[in-house]
Amino acid sequence: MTERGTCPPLPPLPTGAGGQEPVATPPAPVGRGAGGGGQPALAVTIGKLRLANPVMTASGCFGWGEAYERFFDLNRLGALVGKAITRQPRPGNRGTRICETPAGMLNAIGLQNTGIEDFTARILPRLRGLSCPIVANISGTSVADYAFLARELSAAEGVAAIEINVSCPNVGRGGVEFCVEPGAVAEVVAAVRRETERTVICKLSPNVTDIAAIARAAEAAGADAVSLINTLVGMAIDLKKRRPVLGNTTGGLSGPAVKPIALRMVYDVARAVSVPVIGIGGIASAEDALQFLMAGATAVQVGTANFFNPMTCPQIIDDLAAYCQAEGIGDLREIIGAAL
Amino acid sequence: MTDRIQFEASVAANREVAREHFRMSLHAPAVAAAARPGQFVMLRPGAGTDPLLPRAYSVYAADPEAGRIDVLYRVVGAGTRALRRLHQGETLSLWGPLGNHFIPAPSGRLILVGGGVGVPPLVFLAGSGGRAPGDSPAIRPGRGTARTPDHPFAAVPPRPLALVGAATAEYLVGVEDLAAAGAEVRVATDDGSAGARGFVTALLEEALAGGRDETTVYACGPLPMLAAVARVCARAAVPCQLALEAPMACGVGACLGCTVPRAEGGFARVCADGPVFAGPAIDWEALHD
Repeated sequence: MTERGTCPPLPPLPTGAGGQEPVATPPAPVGRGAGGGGQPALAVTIGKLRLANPVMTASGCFGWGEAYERFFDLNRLGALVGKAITRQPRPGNRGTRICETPAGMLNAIGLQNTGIEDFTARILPRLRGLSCPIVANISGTSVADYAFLARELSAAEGVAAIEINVSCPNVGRGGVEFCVEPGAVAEVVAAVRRETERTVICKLSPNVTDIAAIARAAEAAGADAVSLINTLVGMAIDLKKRRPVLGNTTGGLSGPAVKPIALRMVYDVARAVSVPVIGIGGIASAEDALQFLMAGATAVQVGTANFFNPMTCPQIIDDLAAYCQAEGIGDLREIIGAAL
Repeated sequence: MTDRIQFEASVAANREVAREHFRMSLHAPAVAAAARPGQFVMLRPGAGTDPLLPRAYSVYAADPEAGRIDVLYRVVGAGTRALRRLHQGETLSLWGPLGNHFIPAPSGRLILVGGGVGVPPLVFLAGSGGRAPGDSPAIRPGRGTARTPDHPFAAVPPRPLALVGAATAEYLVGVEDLAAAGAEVRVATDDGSAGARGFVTALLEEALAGGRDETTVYACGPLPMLAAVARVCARAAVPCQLALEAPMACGVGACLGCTVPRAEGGFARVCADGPVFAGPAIDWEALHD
């Protein structure tokens, strides 16, 4: 079923929710294309981040862009969000790591990455050649880990924003994930906030009873924005082996299958907080992205769609511009929160 | 920096070559010109959500003059059923060529070991005579029986030996193509319905027992077969290059879904660090759970 052409009619002007404030501070490294000339304005602001367009990559679904620069100019991205960074290198999970499911996929990669030291020494210097903002996603197992990572990234040049992945076991609390407790989320966000002047985004898990309450906790603790949703926990079973398909037993569900859930959660959170919301979950087209913007998202992240169509991001950016032109929208921000 | 590697490729042919096995020719001139044996392409028929993800297919043949590449697939699931439904002239999304490739041995005896749907890179290798298109200096100056792009295997003794395994005779693929490329072909089937009864690795042990001087083994097939090939080659102190297969989401190194354990620790991505690995580079024990 295609959703082409089903976007609701345009609302009257001004921007609805989303708490768009004029930027007080000069924007961090910005990759503004040569705009102007009757082109619709696609730029949006997230904290101190000024994005040339609202299309970002989702953490873990784009590497650090190295695989995709063969497909398109990475500077076209609103922002590049890279693979999660941890304090120590992590080899990742053994056994089967991915499994396709109806309209989606499960993954249990295990946060494989080479650690913060390698990131700042080897990966970040290469990224400085890009003009689009770079967002570092950080994961930890203690509040101290997050604070350490935020400190290291703030000391380095080239990271415009920090996205906090709170869907990680809190070792200090018997392995309960940070993301399920408003207090734990607030603690992590506050610790990161203390360490950095850069834009702080808290990435929320959908595997909670009340995501709006968690979002409010992140906002109160100083997050400049929230992004959602992370993957939904799921599993698959191999009938022949009579065992879970994934080496990790469970994994995160992503792809078009999760889009309606993500959209509902973005809608709920956008009504609960005044900081910008970044929509994530099954976005594969401009129509998908527009639905998230109308549900209150200021920007979107594209994850799984990069895998099945490497050109998804530039196509969405082009199609958003075409949509604005066709609908007579001068500034894409006009539609943010239209459905709220 | 952006060299174009994603295309809408049209189907030139799509025909059954053995039970459940199909060979599809695709019009993709840039890929045909660049592909090397062992490399693969990602194919995504249609833009729907079932199947959602593309699938990886090793290049079976590349014809730069005709601008075509061939792939081989066995119909096993939603992805391959969707390929089966494609008719001549229809298009699908393709990106590639991806991954590394077999390194042609400069000289000496070659043994190619293929299991089931894993024969494509071996047919491509035999058919290309180890040719190295493009600018990569893959062919080093050889001693004695040097191979050059102008001298395919068939013209240079000794002939490569191709060992092909399948469950039964009706599942055998690639035998004629390997023979046409000049290889001497020996066959093994699980039930003995064609060739020797048993595993193809038994044929490999036999061949190595007959002499192993300056021999290089190339293999592609199911993981248990590749593990056995690595074991046999290690025992015989013969170098082997193995093309691995693994479930992939992206095919380009981003998703980290297709990893295999490295012998030296950590994981290698089959798509971007492989698909071709030297036998000893993989921790086969860890791979078996």
